[in-house]
Amino acid sequence: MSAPAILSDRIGRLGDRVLNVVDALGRFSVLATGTVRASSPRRFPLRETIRQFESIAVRSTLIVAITASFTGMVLALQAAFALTRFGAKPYVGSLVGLSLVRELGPVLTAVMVGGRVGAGISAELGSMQVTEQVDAIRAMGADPIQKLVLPRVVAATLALPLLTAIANVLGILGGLLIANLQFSISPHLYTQTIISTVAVSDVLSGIAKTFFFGWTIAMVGCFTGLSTTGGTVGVGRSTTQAVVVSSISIFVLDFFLTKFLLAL
Amino acid sequence: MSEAGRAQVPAIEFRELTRAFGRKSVLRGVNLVVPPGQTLTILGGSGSGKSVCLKHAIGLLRPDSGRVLVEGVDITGYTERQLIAVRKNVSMVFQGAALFDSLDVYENVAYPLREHWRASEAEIGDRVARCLAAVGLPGVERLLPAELSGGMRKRVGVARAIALEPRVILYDEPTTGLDPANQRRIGELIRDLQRRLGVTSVVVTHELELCFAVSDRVALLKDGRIAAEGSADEMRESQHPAVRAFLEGIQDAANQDDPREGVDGRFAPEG
Repeated sequence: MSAPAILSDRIGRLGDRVLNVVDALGRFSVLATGTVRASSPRRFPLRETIRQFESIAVRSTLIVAITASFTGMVLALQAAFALTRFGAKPYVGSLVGLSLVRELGPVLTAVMVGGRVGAGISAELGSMQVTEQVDAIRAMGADPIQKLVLPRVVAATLALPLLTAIANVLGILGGLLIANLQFSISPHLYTQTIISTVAVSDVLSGIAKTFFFGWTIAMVGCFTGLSTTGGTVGVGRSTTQAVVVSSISIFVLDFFLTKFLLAL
Repeated sequence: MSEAGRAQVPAIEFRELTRAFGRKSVLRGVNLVVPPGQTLTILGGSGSGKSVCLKHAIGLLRPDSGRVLVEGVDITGYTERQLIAVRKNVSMVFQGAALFDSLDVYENVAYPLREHWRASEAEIGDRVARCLAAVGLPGVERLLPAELSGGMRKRVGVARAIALEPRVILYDEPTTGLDPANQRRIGELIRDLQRRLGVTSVVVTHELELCFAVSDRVALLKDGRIAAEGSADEMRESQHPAVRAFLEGIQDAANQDDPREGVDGRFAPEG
């Protein structure tokens, strides 16, 4: 192939990819608005939402707990290491508390839940899509968005703040453990420094972000699941995509939400 | 529409239906009339677009051009919401049964009832039991789809499709993947439902035995069009080359567009 031909081929392929992304964004918006439209209180799928909340919140608690307590522990190690240089070692609690409630609690919880729940939703809906169960819902005159998407999105949006709150508490406790055992900072001093530094607004600004994270995780999981084509291979592809897209979205979203919340 | 009025109007009608997926055009102007109360089978090779055709009758797919009429009503431009009314009267049995894995047999069959029927749990239970009895599977209510054999899953799929007592039932490859005894049983079931409930049935299959066991009329789909259509007897005796070729199992290469079958000759024996 000649050089110009290769070039135009490359540009063509790039164009295809751009079009695919734009197309996917468009379809995502359609699904998102459809979900809002499907959420009329009259036919709200309450029972399924509770079931999803259980599977999202309750079954994610353990991984969130482990991640958060170890993050708190490592934060205490790093904080003590850094603060000692300034002779500010007693303020380990302040640093751990602030980093956790403002940033690490929400983001790490979202990434962990995004991996577990986002992939789970995508795989389940993807399998339903390739085995025509989604078509079957439509064929019986029911709405797959109302039956499948809405309960998962509502459950995840409500579960994430709760899980983050748990993560915050356990992270701070993990930090306390290390501060006390390794750096001989008394639990009383540790908690005092947290109480004096971490304001309610810090906690709230962290928690506020997680509603958006929860929504994103579930929407991306549902979207990739429902867009699945190509049998079982397609299900694998969708699942991977769900995890990648939701993780990236969480970090990007986190930046903009933080910027927005700081400007308030 | 009155019962008498419905007796004359075609249950389903396709007019110049075309549909492409990406660059691949699958339907290229399908014209077909399904008379009410009869069983019509759409025959065709793998990938000929029979299932695609069927899914247009219930609005699961939308045509690129052409019209779809159900009981005389043009549903081509219907929204999902408008299609609900159609889907109460036209139900579909999916190829893999498409039962909901997370629900037991009872809840699967009760699904359309809960969606559209304001009835007590006792009435729903009664209807579910009757539907399961009609497909010869009484007493399996509490089993999960994963615990059923392939044939049983298909029959539960049929039970779910008749739960709302539809006037038209669409069967997508109802016997594919079943052993001969189960294939025969499904055939008898389709016939039986047509006789007892007076439903119109549209069956999509490539299996000749099933086709001639259940059909009043047969249409052959080839190259995206209805190549030939007639009563079951006419079709069996037809001298139309495409019909003869299909009935005698000679499929030309153009009809085998499943890549696994080696269109490009990769798997063809050498020499």
